[in-house]
Amino acid sequence: MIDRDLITRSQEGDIGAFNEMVRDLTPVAWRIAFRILTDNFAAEDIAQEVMVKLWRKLDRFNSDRCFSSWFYRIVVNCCYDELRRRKREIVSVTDERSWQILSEITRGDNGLELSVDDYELLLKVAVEKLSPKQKVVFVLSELEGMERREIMKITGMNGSSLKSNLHYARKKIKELIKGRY
Amino acid sequence: MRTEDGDSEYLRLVKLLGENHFTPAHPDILIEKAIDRVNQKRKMIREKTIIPGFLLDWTMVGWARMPMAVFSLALVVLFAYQQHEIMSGIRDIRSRMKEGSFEVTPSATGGVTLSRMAVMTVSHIGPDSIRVAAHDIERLIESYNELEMSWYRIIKVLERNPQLLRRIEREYGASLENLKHKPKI
Repeated sequence: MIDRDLITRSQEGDIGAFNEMVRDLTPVAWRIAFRILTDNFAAEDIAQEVMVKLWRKLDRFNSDRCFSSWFYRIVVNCCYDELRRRKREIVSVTDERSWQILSEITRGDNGLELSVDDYELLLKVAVEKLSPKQKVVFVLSELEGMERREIMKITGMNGSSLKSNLHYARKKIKELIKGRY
Repeated sequence: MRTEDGDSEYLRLVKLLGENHFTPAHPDILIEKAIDRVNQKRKMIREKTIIPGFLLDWTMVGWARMPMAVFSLALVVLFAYQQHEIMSGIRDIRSRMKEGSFEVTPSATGGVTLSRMAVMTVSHIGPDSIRVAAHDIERLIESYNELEMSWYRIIKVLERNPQLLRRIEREYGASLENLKHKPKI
């Protein structure tokens, strides 16, 4: 994910090296946060906050560890904090556009082009009923394509907890799709 | 991670969501904002260390160290001297604190009075001295005066009753002249 030399130089206080890390990692942080929080503005704020935390914690990072897992963990924890901070919002998905997209998916339309807004809407629909842990597991596993072991390192969940959260996330999304059609 | 069942709608949804990789609308602006935020935090932390640095950085400067150390020592010595003076003053005041004394004198109408109740100071309270409250002294003197009055009444009764007087003289070996003698205080 990031060059080891860049990490070492940043730890030694090289501001230029750290800024380079920020340039590489900010879009990644934004993407994960956007998928978990389904909100562009929140994702931007989280991405910036992650960089601040990265700066604070980088001197404690042990280079023997896997940087990507450590970095994703920071992102996920920031997202958890944001989800906890928010009041539980019941997203009332009555938007016609989201159901139109879902309908096209169920009909098997391939090559569907989505705008950012459509994507955001669809993602909201898909994950609205999921708990924070289920959201995180769904995003990391299904959308980011991460392996189970890495997700366990990032989230701190054990194998059975991870399996359970993923199972219920899938179940709820499938029920959502089947329930409408 | 692969899904276990072949729920096609779900798979299509996941594929759609997974494959569409979006980036922020203005990534350069977002990156600049992130860098700015980090710089702000850096500045905040640097400012927090300014005052301690201002107060203590002089210890790093060789030529300033000695005079400042001497000055600090002088302040400590001055403080210690002041404390000593204050404690000396307190001890001096304590040593000058005295006892009150009373004078009991016979009054013109009989009895005794507490003729002078000045709080005189004496310089030392010896081991055989006792302290008595002024109120107690007054009560004592009142009691004495009452007792003396009663005594004189008894003497008059005895003078009017020669038989009674003789009996008392016989039984107690006391004479009227002796009985009339005032008790000394």
